[in-house]
Amino acid sequence: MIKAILVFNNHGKPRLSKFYQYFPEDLQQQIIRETFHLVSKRDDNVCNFLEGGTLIGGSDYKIIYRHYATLFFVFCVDSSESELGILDLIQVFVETLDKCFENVCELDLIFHVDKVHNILSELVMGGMVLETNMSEILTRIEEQSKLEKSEGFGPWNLKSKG
Amino acid sequence: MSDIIEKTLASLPKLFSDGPRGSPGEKTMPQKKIMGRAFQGFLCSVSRCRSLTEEKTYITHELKQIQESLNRTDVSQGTVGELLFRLIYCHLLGYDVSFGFIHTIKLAQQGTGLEKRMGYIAAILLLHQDHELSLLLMNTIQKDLQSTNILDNCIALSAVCHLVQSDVGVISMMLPLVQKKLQHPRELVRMRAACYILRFIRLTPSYQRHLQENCRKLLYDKDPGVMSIGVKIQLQLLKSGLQSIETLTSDLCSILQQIMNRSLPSSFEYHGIPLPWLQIDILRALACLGRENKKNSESMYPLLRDLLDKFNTKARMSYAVMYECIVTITRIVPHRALLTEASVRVKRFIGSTSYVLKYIGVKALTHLIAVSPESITDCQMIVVELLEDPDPAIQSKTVDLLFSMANESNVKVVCSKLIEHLARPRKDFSESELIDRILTLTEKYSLDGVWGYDMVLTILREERSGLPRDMVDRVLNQLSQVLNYPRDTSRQVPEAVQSLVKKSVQGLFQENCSKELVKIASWVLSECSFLLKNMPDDKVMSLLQKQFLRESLDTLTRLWILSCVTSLLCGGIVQPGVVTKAVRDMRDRCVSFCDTTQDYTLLQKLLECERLCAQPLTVDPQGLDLTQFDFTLSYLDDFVCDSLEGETKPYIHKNLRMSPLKVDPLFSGFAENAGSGSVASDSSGKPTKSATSDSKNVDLKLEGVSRVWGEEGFLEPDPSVVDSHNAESDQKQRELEKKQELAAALFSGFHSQSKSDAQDKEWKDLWSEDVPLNLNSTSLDWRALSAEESERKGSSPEEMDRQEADRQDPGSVLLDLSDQEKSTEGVLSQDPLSVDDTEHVQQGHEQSCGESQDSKTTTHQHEQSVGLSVNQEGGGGIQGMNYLSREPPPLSFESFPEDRIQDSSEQFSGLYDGVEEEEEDDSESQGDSVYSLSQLDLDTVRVRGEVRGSGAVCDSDSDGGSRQGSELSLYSQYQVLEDSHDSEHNEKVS
Repeated sequence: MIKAILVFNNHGKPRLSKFYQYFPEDLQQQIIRETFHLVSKRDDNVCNFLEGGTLIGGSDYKIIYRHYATLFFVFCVDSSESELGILDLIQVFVETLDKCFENVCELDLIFHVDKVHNILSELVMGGMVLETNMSEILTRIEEQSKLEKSEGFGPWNLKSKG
Repeated sequence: MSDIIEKTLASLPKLFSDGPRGSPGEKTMPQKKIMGRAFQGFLCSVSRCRSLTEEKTYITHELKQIQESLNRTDVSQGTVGELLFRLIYCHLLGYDVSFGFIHTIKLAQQGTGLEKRMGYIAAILLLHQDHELSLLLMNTIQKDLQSTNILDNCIALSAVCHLVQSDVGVISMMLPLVQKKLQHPRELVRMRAACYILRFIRLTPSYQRHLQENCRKLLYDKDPGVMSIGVKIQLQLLKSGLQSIETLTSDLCSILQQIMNRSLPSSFEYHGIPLPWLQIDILRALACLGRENKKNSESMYPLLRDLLDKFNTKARMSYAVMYECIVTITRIVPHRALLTEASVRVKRFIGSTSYVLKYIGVKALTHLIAVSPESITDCQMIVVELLEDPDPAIQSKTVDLLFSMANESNVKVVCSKLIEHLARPRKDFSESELIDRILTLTEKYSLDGVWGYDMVLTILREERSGLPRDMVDRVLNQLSQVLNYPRDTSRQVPEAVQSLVKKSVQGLFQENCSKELVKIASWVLSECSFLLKNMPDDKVMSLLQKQFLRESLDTLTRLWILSCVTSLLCGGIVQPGVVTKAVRDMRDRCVSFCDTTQDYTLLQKLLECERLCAQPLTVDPQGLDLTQFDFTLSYLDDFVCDSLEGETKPYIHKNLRMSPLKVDPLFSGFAENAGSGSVASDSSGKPTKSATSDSKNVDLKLEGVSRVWGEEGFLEPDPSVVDSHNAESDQKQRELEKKQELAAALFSGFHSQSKSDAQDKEWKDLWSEDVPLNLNSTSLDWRALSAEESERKGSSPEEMDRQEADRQDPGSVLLDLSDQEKSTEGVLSQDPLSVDDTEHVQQGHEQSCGESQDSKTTTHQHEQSVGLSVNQEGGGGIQGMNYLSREPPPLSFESFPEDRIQDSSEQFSGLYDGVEEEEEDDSESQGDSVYSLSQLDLDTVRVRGEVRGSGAVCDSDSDGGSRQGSELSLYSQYQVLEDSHDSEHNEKVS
């Protein structure tokens, strides 16, 4: 099971955090800091797996991460997940983001939080890997926006006080 | 920080200019509008903050404003959505946004389409299952699950998945709705519903049976996405041990077959691999199904083989599937060919330059080694290199591997490696895990207590926070086995016990050792107090006193020390006067540094000690005469009767009481001391050979194994190759040799284990010949030497004396040998078979030439020559032993006395039985001679002739030639086995 998905930049500034297991808010921040601390120390040419985070689950807990330019994508998982599988899931996630935002950059993640979370909810649900097929995810995102348009939700300001 | 700001600023114009139309990549106009200027402005101002405090003041200000605007009644839903995402960003940065929770629920409830979605997403992010407000959302979720809008269904299912977990009432309300969604026409919805079911059965296993029917249908869904979640559910069910569907194995196999045949649309391929994640899940499920189930396993074999064969792509994902496939092969009922195939793949993993693959490879190897230990011999060098890998993740996996490959012969090397790893900086939990593993190994393979104690002392040399809680108990338990030798005044104390005491004293000399060490050492000292007689009183006491006064110790540890003092005093080891002085001093100091919280337990104990000094109650456990004691306690009868007539309850034996009293470790010293008298006398009558013979046994065993070193499969690189290299490569060579030595030590046990492998017939046959062969080589060796010896018989009497001395202590030579091989001692106990060999042969010697004195000296000469040849090899442990054990038997029987042949003709035939089959195909002359030797028992006269004949043959041969010939024949099997190593090492060297 995936316990958390974290994205932060090279300076440790969080850009996205999603916890699939409940942790109190301050502990969440601590986890982000600790994970950044662990991950940022590592060379780029060592392996992408890491054990030793103490805050989530002890020895049954693994950090799987990838480093893209300015961003670290970190998946915190337990031992039931396949490491290489998750590593490629990160790749799927990033590729999907890339397709959606055309050359995704760090700022896209914060300026389009809603959309990023939308994509993430297609990819992972409740800590379980839901869909790994990128084209499928993309069509669904598109489908959603189409549906929204066709059902006439576009001009929501009609419903507002206006 | 600054470059982010720069980036932000740089991207601003673009964002503003795109404004409401959305950037070119945007496909959803409405979202763009919601995330309008206000939101961007907010983000920009946040990132413009120069310091944390500035950011904090800005955000708290902003949060107040957001709260105000959220509370206004006239705010539009779109604005609410935007404000909520501001909150999400603040939440991401770690600010408290709990005031907004209710608004997320409101938006999810009242909004439609996009706003509803935003409300849900915000609620899922900010709320959690146990949050009180999440209950308010349930009604909305229920409504949306029943809605006809697919998107509403989807997002509601996501919310259910996240928010409904523990409350039984809510679950029973939601579950039927979700189950209905499993039949939804769109796979989008079915998939999410299935995902909820998966999460649900994972969290509440009690519902599994209830949902089994639903789960079964999912497996046969026409959409691959839904099906893959169906497989995941089955995997989860299998893991929790529920009875599975009967046809599950064949179903999964057929799904896997279809995937491999690419019968699914190409849109499901990832980097050219069809549905890799589904493949992984199926393989995992198969591993569960095939475990200890022959029928299921057999149906998978062809499929797994296919799968292994098909992997040739470069994509990393294919390695993920391959790893899973290998793990499956190791889990199911083993199939020899598949395992061999798997070990080849693992080698490729481990040898890869990619760290990710190395990591996976080590994991795979750990699995593989559990079922086929011999497979590791192929990759020993790589494993040794991995131990020094710079990547801590790989190191920790290699440590796992080391632990799982430990066996009797390499456990020392493994443990020393683990301890090396302990010295590296690491987290608490992994430290305690590591120590726990070392302890487990020492308990499991404790050759003698001393070695295990050494390990413990090394671990405890400094204070460690991550010690396993029961460490002291475990160590004491182990030590008590060593200390439990028969006590007898006439016998010497076993060496093991002596060295334990010595080590304990040494341990106490350390200033900053951990308190666990103090406890254990003081326990050992009090147990074996009589061994401290030779130590000056004041020295012992000052040692204990110093430890006692260390500030970092706690009361409990001090009490351990005091109980040690008491036991020394009662044993008469230290003079009461010295103790009194020391105890007084301790008490004074104790009062001075414990003044804040008086430690009464400690003070009381100190006082007791002092009193005891005044009236020393010395008990000499070894000088007690038990006949003087009345063990029936008859003098107490009156007292007992009186008490029983009164109110007192009768005595109930400790074991019969409801809760047996636990003996405080504190008083262990006393109990033992009081009881030791009876123990000693009890056992004094019995022959006490166990202790001494024990240590001897260990030596013997070690020796026997060091001989096997050469056969162990580790070939030294050809010396000529080495010579041709320059100095730099020499350096490399030395490093390599070091590593090879380590490798040899680490992997020593694996060949012997592979011998017992019943699966591989071919191998078994080869190995079964091993024993008689060994016997032959040694015995022939000896006979040849006896010939030499008879020539030299007239040598100086001093030499004879020396030989005689050697004879009296055959162990000493053996010991020397093993000393020389210290670096390689891990291998020493490799093969119990060979131990038997040595003993057998020695018996043989004595039988065949029992009466004649000179033949006895021959034996020693042989032993000496063993030692000599090792020396000549210049400490090159491997090569020396290698050479020895491979040394061919020079067949020179010419000078063999005839009468002895007669005596030992039977012996001969026995010895040669094995050779007969093995060497038939070899060079004519040798084969002939050996063959005829085997018929000795029929006709001794003929034997004589034949023996002479064979001797002649050997003589006529050049010495080296005959050696080579017989080496070839005798050890051909090893060479076949070692071919692979050989080439590998040669590669390495070049």
